[in-house]
Order: sequence, then C-alpha cells, then structure tokens
Amino acid sequence: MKMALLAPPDTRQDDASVGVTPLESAFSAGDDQVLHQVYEQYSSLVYSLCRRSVDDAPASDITQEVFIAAWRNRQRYDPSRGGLAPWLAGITRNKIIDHFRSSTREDRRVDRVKNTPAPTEPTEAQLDLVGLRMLLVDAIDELPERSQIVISMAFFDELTHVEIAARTGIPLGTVKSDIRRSLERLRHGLGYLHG
Amino acid sequence: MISGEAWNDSDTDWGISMDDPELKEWASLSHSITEADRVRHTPPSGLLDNILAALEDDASGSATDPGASRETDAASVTPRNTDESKTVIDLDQQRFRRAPSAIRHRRRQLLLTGVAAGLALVVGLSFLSDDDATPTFVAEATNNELPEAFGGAATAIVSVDDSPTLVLTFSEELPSEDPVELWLIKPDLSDMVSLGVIQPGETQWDWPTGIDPNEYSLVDLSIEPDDGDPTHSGRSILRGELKST
Repeated sequence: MKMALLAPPDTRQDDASVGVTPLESAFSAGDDQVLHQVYEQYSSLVYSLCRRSVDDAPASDITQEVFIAAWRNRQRYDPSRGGLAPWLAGITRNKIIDHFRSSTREDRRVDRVKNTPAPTEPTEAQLDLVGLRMLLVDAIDELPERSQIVISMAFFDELTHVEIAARTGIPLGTVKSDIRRSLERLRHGLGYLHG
Repeated sequence: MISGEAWNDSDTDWGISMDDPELKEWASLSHSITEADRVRHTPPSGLLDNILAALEDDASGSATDPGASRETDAASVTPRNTDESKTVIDLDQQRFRRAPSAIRHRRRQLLLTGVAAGLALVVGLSFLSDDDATPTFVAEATNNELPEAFGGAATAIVSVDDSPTLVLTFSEELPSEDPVELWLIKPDLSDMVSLGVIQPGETQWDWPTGIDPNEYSLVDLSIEPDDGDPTHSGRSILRGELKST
C-alpha cells in the first residue's frame, strides 16, 4: 500500500480506505443485489473498454465473461488495493487477450481467403494504457467540482500550486489539500491496473 | 515521491509539474486522453440476465450433479493408468487451439516422447464438501526433465474455499520473458483445458466447472510466446499429476 503522496510522514494517514465506496466494501461478501448494483455502475465501462478492441458482438460476450469471472472470484477483490473499476478493467484486459488468442489459424486463413483483414491483437500494454486513460477520465469526473478544477489545472495546464491559487482565488493551503485528496482518490480509482 | 520537507515548507511552490514520477506519469497520461477515452457505450439489454443465468447454472450444477468435482469422495478416486515416462508433448505435428470461453478444450491427439523424473511442482487442489474441508487431490510433479524445465523448486499450499480451487506456489519467480500458461491435460493427452496465462503474483484459480480432476489430472505450465498462436507451444516447463490424498 502506497502512502499518501503529499502528507509529511508524521501526519500521513493510511490511505487504504480513501475513496472506497460502500459498494466496494460490500462486494466480496455481497449477494445478487450487490451484483446488480456493480453491473449497473460498471458495465458501461467494461463494455466500452471491450469496444475499443472488438466489435459489439464479441464485446457483449467478453463483458458477460468479465462479470461472471468477477463474481466467481469476488473474494479476491481487496478494496485497499484499488477500486472495483480498475479491478474489473484488469479482468477485462485479460479476457480481451484471451478472446484474441482464441482466434484459430483457420479463422485467420478464412479471413485471408475472404480478403478480410484479421483484427490486430492488442498488447497487454496497449490495453492497460487505454484502460488507465478511461479510468482517469472517470476518476476525475467523480471528484468534487472544485477538485476537478484544481486537478485539471495541475494536470492539463501544468500549473503550480501558487499559480492555481492565483488564478482561482482559492487559498494556497486549500489548493494543496485539494490536490492531495484528489491524488489519493485517483490512486484508488486507478489502483490494480496502475500497479 | 514528494518529500515531507517539501510539503512542510509552506513557501514551497510545489506543483504537479515538478519531479514526482507518479505525478508526472499521471499528468502525461492526462495529456494523452482522447475523445474516444470519454465515450461510454451502453451494453445490450439482457446481458445481465445472461450473467445471472450463467451464475445460476453454477449453483444448480454443483448442487444437483452427483458427479461434480466438489463432491468427489477421496475414497472413491480411482488410480489413473498413466505412463509417466511419456510426458513431453510434441506439438510440431498437431497443435491445440483455444476455445473462446473461459474453459477451453482441445480434443486432438498429441504425440509423446519419453522423459525421466524429478520433483519440481506440487499442486494443492482443494474441495470443500459439506462435511470435509480437507483437500482431496495433490499433484507432485515427477517429470522435471522437460526440455525447458523450470529450475525452481515448488511447494504446496492448500487453500480451503467455498469452491474447488487450484493453488500453485513456487519457490522462484517463473520465467518472465514470455507468458506462462496453465493447462489441465488428460493423461492420454486426448484433451486439454487452459486456465489462462498466469498473471504476476497469481497463484490461485477456480477449478473449472465440469472438469473432473480424475480425468484432467496433469497440471502443466508452458511458455507461450506472444506470437498470436493460441495453441499449446509444446514448451512445457513444469508438469505434475493430481493424485488423491
């Protein structure tokens, strides 16, 4: 478990619980109702991740496999290591790779005969990069509005604390604490997949 | 990582663009975000029903199938007639392909060549039944003279879960140059099932539903180059046979 990035050692808090949602806490011991909620919340992310690599039909199949695998292995999910989103994204990555590897040589020959280019198998690194970008988008969107502004100015505009404070009128200390809390939440939102 | 001194200095003009590797990485990542990364598709309707149905099948299958592996009685396990001198798969003439589902079977004949013995791998396979939480199968590899044998020793751990579980523990890191895939193989090599590429740190797998450990008794690890070929490479590095305890 990484410690909080910005807090000094004597004031750091264990960030294991930062960003952990009640749904994430309930997942490993959850019932069917929890599965419904998890699907409701994350199926779009999983399906959209699949659609970055495959068409809608295989994307549906892979999404189904992801949630089945996730539910069967829900005891392995540890909220202190990251959110459900990156955990599911990691499973999705593996299922996408499995999907491509399931293509037989015969399939490829058929594709060649049909003069249809066979889909290019994405690498694990490519899938991780797409997943991380999508998770980062979601994680920033889920921050409080003021934190979204601050972290976006820091990330996208590469402004310093002082510059952000000057431009927004937010006190410098508040800018720093907003960034610290935001990074903790982002770390949770990208955990598992970010490593 | 940002130092405590930098944080404690209230005058420090510390910003995201400074030298913290993680922050720089995330800032860089944010710069690479495209419009496509913001697009979210809605899955087709009915998908959740399919998922629930599949999971319901799991539950009903284990509860009603008397032959389900979780109910296997250790005393009823019959010895397998396995020629342990035949352990190297020659896949040059016939390769096995993966099926798209989580459980992938291969049903083609494999050619064998002889190999000698050497302890390398111990596998714990545990089944939790209603009245007995002890493992019923353990595999000890006796054929470590595979052409590309993994040099490290391995020990068994047995985990008891609420479903059959396969557990591998290694004394040394697995080769990292190429992916290592986990297979369950019939001793006569007439069929094999892939449990997938072993991820870093992964040591435990759900035993696939419908797979009888009496039949798929060889646990095999193979080097699988990232060449786009989903079939067994023939480059086994470890193999052990499940035996009733």
